[in-house]
Amino acid sequence: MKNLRKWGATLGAGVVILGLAGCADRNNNGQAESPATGNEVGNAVADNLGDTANAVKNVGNGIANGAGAVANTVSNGVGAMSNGLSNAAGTMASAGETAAMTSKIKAAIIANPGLKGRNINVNTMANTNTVSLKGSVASAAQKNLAGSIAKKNAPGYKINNQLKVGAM
Amino acid sequence: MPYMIGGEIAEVGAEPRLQDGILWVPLRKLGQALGGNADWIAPNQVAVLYLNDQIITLTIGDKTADVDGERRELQGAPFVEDGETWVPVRLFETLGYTLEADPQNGIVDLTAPV
Repeated sequence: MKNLRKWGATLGAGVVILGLAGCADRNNNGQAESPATGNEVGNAVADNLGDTANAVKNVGNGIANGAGAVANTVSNGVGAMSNGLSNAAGTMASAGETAAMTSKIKAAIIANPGLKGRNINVNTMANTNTVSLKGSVASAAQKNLAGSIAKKNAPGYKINNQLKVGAM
Repeated sequence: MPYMIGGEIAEVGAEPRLQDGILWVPLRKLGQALGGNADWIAPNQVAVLYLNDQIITLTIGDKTADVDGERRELQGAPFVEDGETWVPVRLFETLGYTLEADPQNGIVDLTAPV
């Protein structure tokens, strides 16, 4: 960056000096003007140096902006990956929770004296917050009992009691 | 009028009975008077009481009650008589009720849990 500025300034100043040193027709009136004075040369060089410095500065800003854009893209990409991983972990945790709930309900049903000997299938679906009961029972009383036990052990879940009442 | 619930006289439909030093009450009738519901599962000889969000399962002849999956010991084993399941009145203490009983005069006063 330093070298670029230095060369730019040198080049720019040289062009100005050469231009002013000659007898150029600066005001386009067809007549050559007298050579520029030292002050005029100095001012012109200073102006040119300033322009060159500004140009170099703009180039520097452009590079900085580009670098910033790249950094943002990388950051967004990393953030997206992180969210994806987090969601996957959450899904795995939810699957674990539903399996635990299914086991808990099944154990409570098996242990209850009123449902001894009944084969009742329990299925928990986290995406619909539903617990399904399937199988056969001897009476409406047993169906009610199984449904009540499921409801007790699955707070916030809807119970889909599909137990069939009939002779065993 | 042998029953009081929350300080108010309650009509239950069957009087408590004193037997073998234990005061027995009708499970379904008293459970309903307390705002609950009862079921009978004949193949398993089991009576179920649904009361105050609790599920109480009692097996005829078994001194252990199942209260929301927890085993509770009873004073005596439930029995069936006159189409009614009879349980020791102290079962309701297990369920959180405050019990004041006068076994000699067959008076039962139950106050619901807070």
